[in-house]
Amino acid sequence: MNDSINGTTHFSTFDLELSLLEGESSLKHRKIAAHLQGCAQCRDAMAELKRLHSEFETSVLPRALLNARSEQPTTNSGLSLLPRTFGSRPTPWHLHPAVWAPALASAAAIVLALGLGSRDTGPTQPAADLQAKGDAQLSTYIHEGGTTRQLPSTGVGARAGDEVRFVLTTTSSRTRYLLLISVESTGKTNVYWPPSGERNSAIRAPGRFEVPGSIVLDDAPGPERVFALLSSLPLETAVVETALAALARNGTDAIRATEVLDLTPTGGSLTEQHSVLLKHGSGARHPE
Amino acid sequence: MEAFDDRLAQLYQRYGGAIYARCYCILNNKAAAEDATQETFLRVHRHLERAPDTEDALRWIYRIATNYCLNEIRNQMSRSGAVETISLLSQDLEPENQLLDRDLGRRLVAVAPEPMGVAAWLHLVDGMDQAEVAKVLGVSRRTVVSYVSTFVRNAQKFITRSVA
Repeated sequence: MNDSINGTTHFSTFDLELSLLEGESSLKHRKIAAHLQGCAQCRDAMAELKRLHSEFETSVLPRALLNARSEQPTTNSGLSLLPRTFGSRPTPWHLHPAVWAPALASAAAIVLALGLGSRDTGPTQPAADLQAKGDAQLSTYIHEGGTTRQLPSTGVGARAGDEVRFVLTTTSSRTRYLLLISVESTGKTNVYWPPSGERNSAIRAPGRFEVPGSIVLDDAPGPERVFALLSSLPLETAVVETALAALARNGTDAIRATEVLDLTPTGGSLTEQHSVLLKHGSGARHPE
Repeated sequence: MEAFDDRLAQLYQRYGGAIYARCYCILNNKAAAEDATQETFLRVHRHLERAPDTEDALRWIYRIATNYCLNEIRNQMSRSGAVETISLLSQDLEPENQLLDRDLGRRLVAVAPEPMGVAAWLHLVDGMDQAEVAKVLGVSRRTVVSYVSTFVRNAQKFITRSVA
């Protein structure tokens, strides 16, 4: 409890949450229930929490489950089952709790819901101008001001704060590993996929792989080139970073012009690569 | 991997509603809260091996959600002209009174360094006591006291400067 505000004593929202989670039999719940009898402020706070829990169960969760049913995962990998949060919101979908409640009993169903709970209706068309040799296709989308649009690989001005997402579409079923990495004009490299580790990780194929989450552009000036590297074996990130550092040393023009990275040291496991140019800055967002 | 996914599923099933409520309370927007909930569990997934058990799990996820939401506010402010919005605030210079206002709290927290801002939010806006804030943040109570008092002091200066 916090008695530092206004000299009165109230339960924190965290305490109220714990009380809801622990159920009526818990000591905390009983203590809070007694307090609520005489405290309108905490009573209101508890009512609001209950409303939000209800909203989650009747609106947020069913939407995720609906999406889980409409798409079938091809892998059990948790990393491929992460939530999608980018893009415009579809028409709200309200499903009666009785319909989806049985699914809650299955933990697997919840994982499925998490992974495929996409409310993303934006990026659905492939980027014709991003095709490189091979069967994969990298598409880049930018989200700003409530709208989502696709970027051409030739580069586009983007503002600090804009969110960028990447989608890789493959038609071949062979196992491949993806490393999504970028280099900025300062020589700084950023690994966007996999989220951690020194090597890239396998992606499901064939299909559409949305790199989880979005990157938010900072206000660093100059170009940033993002490479999607597909390989038959995991690539050592350090090897790629060395190649990117060499590229950055050749200056911003080299970053702008280099669509294919020289990765001879990877020993031939690299099977395909794609790239897109992002141009940071606060100015116009038109291609240079 | 299956056990890994099961663990994530259990956490989502048990705490999804609480985290959604948490995000909504900070962001005050249904769509943003929904996004933030998903982003929070994305982060939970990334660090699942660190997830504690029982009551501590909620504290841990709560902290992730709080960090995410406050960063979101910070990013929004940064995109929209940042701290200029401070001039729109109430003219009441009593910081304790000011901080009771959630909107003001949001704005002030957004311009505070991360651990200090989060501590201030948990204590001053959520009403968590300092010991509980210390548990959530994984720091000592003394550190929380320091964070909050520094935050209040800086907030007062910030407001004074903005009004002037």
